[in-house]
Amino acid sequence: MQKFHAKLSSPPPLTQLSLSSTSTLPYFPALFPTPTATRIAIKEIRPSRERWTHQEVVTSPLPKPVATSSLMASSVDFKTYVDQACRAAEEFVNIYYETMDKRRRALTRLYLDKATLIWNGNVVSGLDALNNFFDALPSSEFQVNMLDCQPVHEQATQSQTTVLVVTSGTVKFDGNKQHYFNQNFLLTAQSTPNNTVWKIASDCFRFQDWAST
Amino acid sequence: MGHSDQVVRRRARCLDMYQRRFSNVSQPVSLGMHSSSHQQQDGDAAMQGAHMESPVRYTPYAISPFHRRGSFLKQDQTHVNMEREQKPQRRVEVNRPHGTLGSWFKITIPFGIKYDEKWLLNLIQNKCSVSFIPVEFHYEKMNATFYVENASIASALKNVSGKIWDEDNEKISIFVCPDGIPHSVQRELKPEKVEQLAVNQQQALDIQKLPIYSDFMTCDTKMAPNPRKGVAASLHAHEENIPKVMSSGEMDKWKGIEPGEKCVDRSPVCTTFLNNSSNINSILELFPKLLCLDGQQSPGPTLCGLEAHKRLPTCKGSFFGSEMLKNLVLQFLQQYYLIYDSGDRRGLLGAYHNEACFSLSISFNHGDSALSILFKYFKDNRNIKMLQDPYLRGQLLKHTKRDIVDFLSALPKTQHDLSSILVDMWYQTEWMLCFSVNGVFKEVEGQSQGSVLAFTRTFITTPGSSSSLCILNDELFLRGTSHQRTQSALFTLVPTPFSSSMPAFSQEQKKMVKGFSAQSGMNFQCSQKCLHNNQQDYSRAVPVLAPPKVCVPMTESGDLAGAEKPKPNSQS
Repeated sequence: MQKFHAKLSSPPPLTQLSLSSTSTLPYFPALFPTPTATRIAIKEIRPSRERWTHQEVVTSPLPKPVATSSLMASSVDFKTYVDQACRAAEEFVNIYYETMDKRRRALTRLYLDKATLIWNGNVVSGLDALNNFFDALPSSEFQVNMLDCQPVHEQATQSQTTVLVVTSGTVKFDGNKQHYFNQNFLLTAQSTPNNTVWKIASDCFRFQDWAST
Repeated sequence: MGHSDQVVRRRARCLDMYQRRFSNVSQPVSLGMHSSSHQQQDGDAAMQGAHMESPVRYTPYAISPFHRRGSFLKQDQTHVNMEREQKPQRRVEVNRPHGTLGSWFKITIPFGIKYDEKWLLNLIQNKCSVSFIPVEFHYEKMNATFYVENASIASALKNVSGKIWDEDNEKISIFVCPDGIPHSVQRELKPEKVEQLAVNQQQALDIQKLPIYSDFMTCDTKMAPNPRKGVAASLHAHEENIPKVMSSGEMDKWKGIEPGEKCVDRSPVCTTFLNNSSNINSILELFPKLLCLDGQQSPGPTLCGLEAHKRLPTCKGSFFGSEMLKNLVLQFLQQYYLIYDSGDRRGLLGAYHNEACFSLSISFNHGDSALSILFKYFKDNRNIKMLQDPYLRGQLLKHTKRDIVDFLSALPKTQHDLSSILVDMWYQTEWMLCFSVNGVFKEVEGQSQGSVLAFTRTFITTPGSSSSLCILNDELFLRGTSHQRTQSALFTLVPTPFSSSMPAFSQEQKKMVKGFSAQSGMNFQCSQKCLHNNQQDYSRAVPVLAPPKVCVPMTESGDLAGAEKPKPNSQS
């Protein structure tokens, strides 16, 4: 992992808008998908004798950066971006847990090459290690009861569109008792001219009762 | 049966081929086969002689590959019966020099990468009833593996599984596969011998245990110098034996499934499999029905249960990227919760970025008592899974530090137990530090005063001014506590000297203690201590609460459900 250097950066300029809860701020419109309906396309190959190939979470392309100097320029408000992020997160979570349960071998395709996983305090870093890890993990049955997500502020991501996804539910690993779990992901968008592919940059998983296992 | 003559003739022919092929196998092996079947006696005497040499029973593996699957199957029907009656106890005593033909077994210790080679082998040997020579010990992915050249040794090793423990007192499993030839052995063998070895191995299987597995064994592409040839060769061998496998009593289960179909398409099945566990998983994925068919028959682990060797990694405590980051985060949390618990959360304005985001979510996993406490958070619960309305989804996300702090200030006053928190630092870059905090806190005011909740709080921070962290994203997840967790929560944030003599508790206070005890699962004594440590709450609480409201549901008579009726003169 990279070193974390304390860096003094000037905070973004304060807006002059009133800060009541009903106000809408022009939140970094460049970062999020257009307000048109997000087309979620899930590419996956049905089980066959071939190798697994594509397993991705794909949405429509992100818009080109828009000048944000004028507060009135943006026709898109923060809530819309939040919604877009939510729908991407929703689709992602559906695919992720289904893949984990039913097509485990394809799971690492949802991760970036350098993604890291912290699984009950065990660190797994990079695709190779992730492959081994998921290979060795018993088969699973996940039930997600809670899903929350937030768009990650661009100051942290250096304009790389990122969504924080938080989930909770139950999981039963083969040969083990059922556990409640908490999990969170950092999803980052990789844009191509035709679409946006979302991948996991980071994954943190914990049993709620980890201490008693 | 009409086919019996044909079978006998074929057997004779194949036997000849077999003998020619393997006449160099000089070491005798004893078989526990009993020729009880009259069919066998009708067969060749030579066949019995051949049995002296072959590791296991006769199989028509040398039959022309052009022979059609269908008839092969039928002919085998009689062969089936014979074999079943015989119930061979195959004991392969091997006295052959290393490198010649034999039955190789691959022994796998899952997560064996944790263990030192010598230590592990000693441990196993001490427990194993037979002495074994591990060949080509190496670590493969997360496992430790080696080979042994004997079915009975392999069997003995299998028996050791689960009977040995490592230094962490965790059971060590041993997994045995009749598969794979050590590379050093492979190199010495010619291709046709390699093929025979594959056949031998398959024959050596206890078919009743792992029928499918034998068919789809790893076709090790390294088996022959020319991988294609090797695959084809081994497939050939396996193909011939497919009906053999089926015919060991499980024909019925294969109704509706054409075994031939599985064999015909050669290349993809074998070449993509890298190791046994991938093998099995892929099979399971490809043929879920097989799984079900097979499950009942296997005496040992089912095909699914081959996963029994897969174990969950040990759960560990907090993870920090480094000591420096650990200090940074702990310091941040201390400051944060000092303000958070102080009664005035406006100080948190300095902790949040101007455009920070915050959201709250709750879960009702842990029973009714938690439900009543969590109820007040319900209106702010942001569960995207349940909440479809985009407007509400947006509303429930607090945005800007002013909104966030306003919201947090409206939540009940709390007391967090930092001594028992768990932190996972899951991402960091130059501009971003992300971590999750797991712990418990107590609400120290309001209707649910004294109730304990568990939380998981996810922070995404960036370096702020004055070397502190600036919160960009904050997600708070709340749930009830299991009794276990509460007992470990010590609430030492506000340590007060605890005198041995308990103060005289008023009736209300006793009820409150009972309520807290019932809700938290602590025993009465413990609850008292807990509340006593926070004496200031009593002084505030007692005048306010009349009758005391606790989070345990009340019965109609006004007593606490589940709590004992307080006796007038009872000692606490």
